[in-house]
Amino acid sequence: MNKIKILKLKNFPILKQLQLEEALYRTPNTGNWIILNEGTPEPIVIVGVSGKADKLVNLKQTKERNIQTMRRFSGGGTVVADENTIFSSILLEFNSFKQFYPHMKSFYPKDIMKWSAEHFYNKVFIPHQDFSLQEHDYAFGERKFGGNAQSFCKEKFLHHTSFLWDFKDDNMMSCLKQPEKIPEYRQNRDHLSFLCKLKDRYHTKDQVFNNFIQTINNIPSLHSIEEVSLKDAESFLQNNHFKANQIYNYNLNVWENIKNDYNNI
Amino acid sequence: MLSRLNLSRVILANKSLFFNGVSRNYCTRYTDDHEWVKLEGNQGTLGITNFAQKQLGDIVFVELPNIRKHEAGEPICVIESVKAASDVFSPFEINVTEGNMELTQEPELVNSEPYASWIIKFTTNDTDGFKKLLTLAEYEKLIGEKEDTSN
Repeated sequence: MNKIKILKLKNFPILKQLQLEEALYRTPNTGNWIILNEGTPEPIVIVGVSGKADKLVNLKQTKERNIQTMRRFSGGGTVVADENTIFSSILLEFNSFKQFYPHMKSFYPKDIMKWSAEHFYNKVFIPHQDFSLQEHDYAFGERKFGGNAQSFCKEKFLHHTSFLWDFKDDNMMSCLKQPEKIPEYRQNRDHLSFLCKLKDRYHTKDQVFNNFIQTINNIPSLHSIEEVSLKDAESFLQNNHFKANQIYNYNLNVWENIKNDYNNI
Repeated sequence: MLSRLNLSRVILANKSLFFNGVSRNYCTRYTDDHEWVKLEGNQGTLGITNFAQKQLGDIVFVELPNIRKHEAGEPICVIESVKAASDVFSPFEINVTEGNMELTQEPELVNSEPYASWIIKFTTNDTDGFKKLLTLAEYEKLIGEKEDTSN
């Protein structure tokens, strides 16, 4: 029970990663997983489960740039991801989590969000003393570098994050609209004014990944870590489960089920 | 002031409600997943409790369920609060007959009126499953506080 499987990926399509995560999330008794992915090969816009594409995405410009838009199964906001986005996904069963963190008495979304900043990512981003959770996003000072999304079911929770190692300014500005409900810390600033890049704080991505691994190793009462292969994760795709990840059809202006090898398994 | 005749009629009406037992009684029970369930005969409604909406925070989206049979414990729909999608579970075997379309436009009603804002309507033959759910007193013991059911 007190074991975590780690899957390390590099330049793996985030659309497929989210399909894997949904299979792991919706299948009972998968154990605990952490997935780290260094980039996605093609730029892609990702909205949350409630995402209304026309309100969040400049669909015309995104289509013209040949950038896909997908809707993921978890809650949260909209991101533009590319080869310079670092993805980290934590999928823990509540039974294990309670053993790792026995001092925690409450396990609702706000509690897990708080835990992620105060007991996990504060250690990943040591020694940056200005690291904090600002209205559900990770920031250095007043500039955000990591966006979170979570999902909760009976047995487990998923907390996944996209970190901005770097980003293409014009993709960000062109693809995303200002959200209707703007977080207070954003103060009506455009995207470039309230974001920052991890590459301005770290020399290499390896430094960040090493910090991740060290933090995972230091999870209290953790018995073991097992590094697993992509095939190990893909085996869960065979289990019959509800599939909420979808891709946007720009011509028909509708969300559609994903048609790829992962949906034929 | 009720006449003796009218009073008798009221008493008789209440007696018929009472003596018809479950088939005429609204009854609310609770799950340990923080849902309230009301059942009248074999027809029911389900929503989330006031405690649940407080824990979730601002609700921004309610995804309505498929109109079909759901097994006990099966996720039936999703509620999204800020940054988190949370499953709502079937309390026992139910046939979902309707989702509350109003919540697709005004999901915040689940915060302001959790008991008035039913999420699904259903039918069921599993009244035993319903009887196994928590009473209000048992639910309040679970959450460690008084549950405000007024809205």
